[in-house]
Amino acid sequence: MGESIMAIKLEHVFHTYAKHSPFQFEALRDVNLTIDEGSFTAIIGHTGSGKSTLIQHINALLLPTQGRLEVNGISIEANQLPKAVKKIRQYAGVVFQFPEAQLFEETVEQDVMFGPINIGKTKAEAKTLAKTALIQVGLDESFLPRSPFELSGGERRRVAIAGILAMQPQVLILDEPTAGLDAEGAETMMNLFSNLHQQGMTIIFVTHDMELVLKYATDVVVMAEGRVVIQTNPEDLFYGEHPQLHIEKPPLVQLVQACLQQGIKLANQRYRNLDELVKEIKRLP
Amino acid sequence: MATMTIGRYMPYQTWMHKLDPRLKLFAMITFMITIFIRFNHVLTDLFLYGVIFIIIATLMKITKLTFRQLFKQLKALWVMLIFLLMINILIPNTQDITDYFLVLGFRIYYAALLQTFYIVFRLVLMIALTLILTASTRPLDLTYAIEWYLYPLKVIHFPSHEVAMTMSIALRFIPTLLDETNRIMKAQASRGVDFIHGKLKEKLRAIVSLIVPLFISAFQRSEELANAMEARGYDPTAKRTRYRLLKWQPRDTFALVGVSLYFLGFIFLYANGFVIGG
Repeated sequence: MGESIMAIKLEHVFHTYAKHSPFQFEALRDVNLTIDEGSFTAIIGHTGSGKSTLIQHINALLLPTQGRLEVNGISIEANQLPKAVKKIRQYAGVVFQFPEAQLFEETVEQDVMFGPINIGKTKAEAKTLAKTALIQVGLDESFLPRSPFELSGGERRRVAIAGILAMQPQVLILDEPTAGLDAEGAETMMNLFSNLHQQGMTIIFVTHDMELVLKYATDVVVMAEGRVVIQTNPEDLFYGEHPQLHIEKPPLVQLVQACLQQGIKLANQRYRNLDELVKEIKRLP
Repeated sequence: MATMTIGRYMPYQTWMHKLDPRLKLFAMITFMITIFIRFNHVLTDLFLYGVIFIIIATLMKITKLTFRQLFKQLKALWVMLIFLLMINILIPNTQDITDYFLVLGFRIYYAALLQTFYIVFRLVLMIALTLILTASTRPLDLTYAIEWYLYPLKVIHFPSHEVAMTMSIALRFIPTLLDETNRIMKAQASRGVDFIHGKLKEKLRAIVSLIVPLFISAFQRSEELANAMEARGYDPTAKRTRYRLLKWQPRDTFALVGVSLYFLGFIFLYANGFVIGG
């Protein structure tokens, strides 16, 4: 990864909530991390390991209490809201957990236009952006005049994501985008991000679902107790030996490893996709 | 809000925390009454405010509250304080408007300044008192105390239990709603909303983008809660037992005696027209 361009760099970032009170909590402790442009990075770790805190630093929603970050060349110093904060927020869009809760406008179109207008686009530009963004998330133009509150949960989530995409971010940050969706919904949602990634967008997502990490991510960051334990790729994480991380391997990895143990000769030893494995097994004599 | 600690229960184990909430509520009300008693004599008033201030500062110390926390609370009232100051200076409502000095052609009366000082000082003391109460008492204990005081009203069929239940639910959901507010604010901030700067029109839109989702989620929550309570057969008229019982301890009697003496002393001074040097 020598020549790749860093999109985001964290240097010795600490974050402490509610300093000087009995609720004081150190959410991040000395986090050093670089995320490359064009990567599809998964951030995993137990509840309370600092994942959500980490991603909120990337677009300056939270500021480090110590240390610094660099986002697209703009630096964020400890406890100082950078002047170019709007630029940072436009560059890196954050989609929070259950983003459907942020909708408030009367129509889907107005809601999606809200972001672009906030960053200084004209109404006409915002309209075009809204339309494109809706198509990107797989909703057609018939949704534009509808009220966001009459849509289904999944559709509302798409509208909320479109609201971020309409700001044309280069980095899309997602906090558990598949939470509360069924397997099918989760897959369509992830395919959506995968498409955006192929179009050149950098994707960072927090998840608890190891299968999604294996299938989609190019990089994976493991967090525990506010620290980055390891930054690697999914093949290494799941197929390599990392007993200290206590990560449950996805069923696909377990299956491949069982096959190999039984002496079945597979062409590839590190499958990331069930379909490929099925194809390979079908080819076996 | 994770960083917001004001007006919130602080889980310490101080003497103040261990006192009975009924007593603390009573003490707070007596203190508030004494704050509003005025002797119409500058020196006496200032002296007694000093005494009340020392007592309240000691109570804050016992509760492990710092002045920093108090001023943090006041920060939100800044605008109001300045407004009060202006009104009082422009429209003095004291009888002895004699001494004044000129600032930019305006007559500023000493009496008006003093009046403003009293108002601000009273506000600070009141806020300090409520801070002590809320920091040292679990919201639930506080509602139990209120229910206890409302109990006699049962005679006139006042629904004291229902009122207490509604209050405890409301209190229970304050942190939840604050978290929700924080979450939505962040979500909208990442959509380019600026809650602090910007023109009035932009600010209004920013607030709408916060309030609408907040209302929706509050209504959803209340409906879910109502359904959950009904599903478990909640009956407001039923006789219920309690996990936490309020038990009167010797230290509560001790504190009650202290508060009563303080209050009676104050009333006594007032009734006798106490004046320093007079």
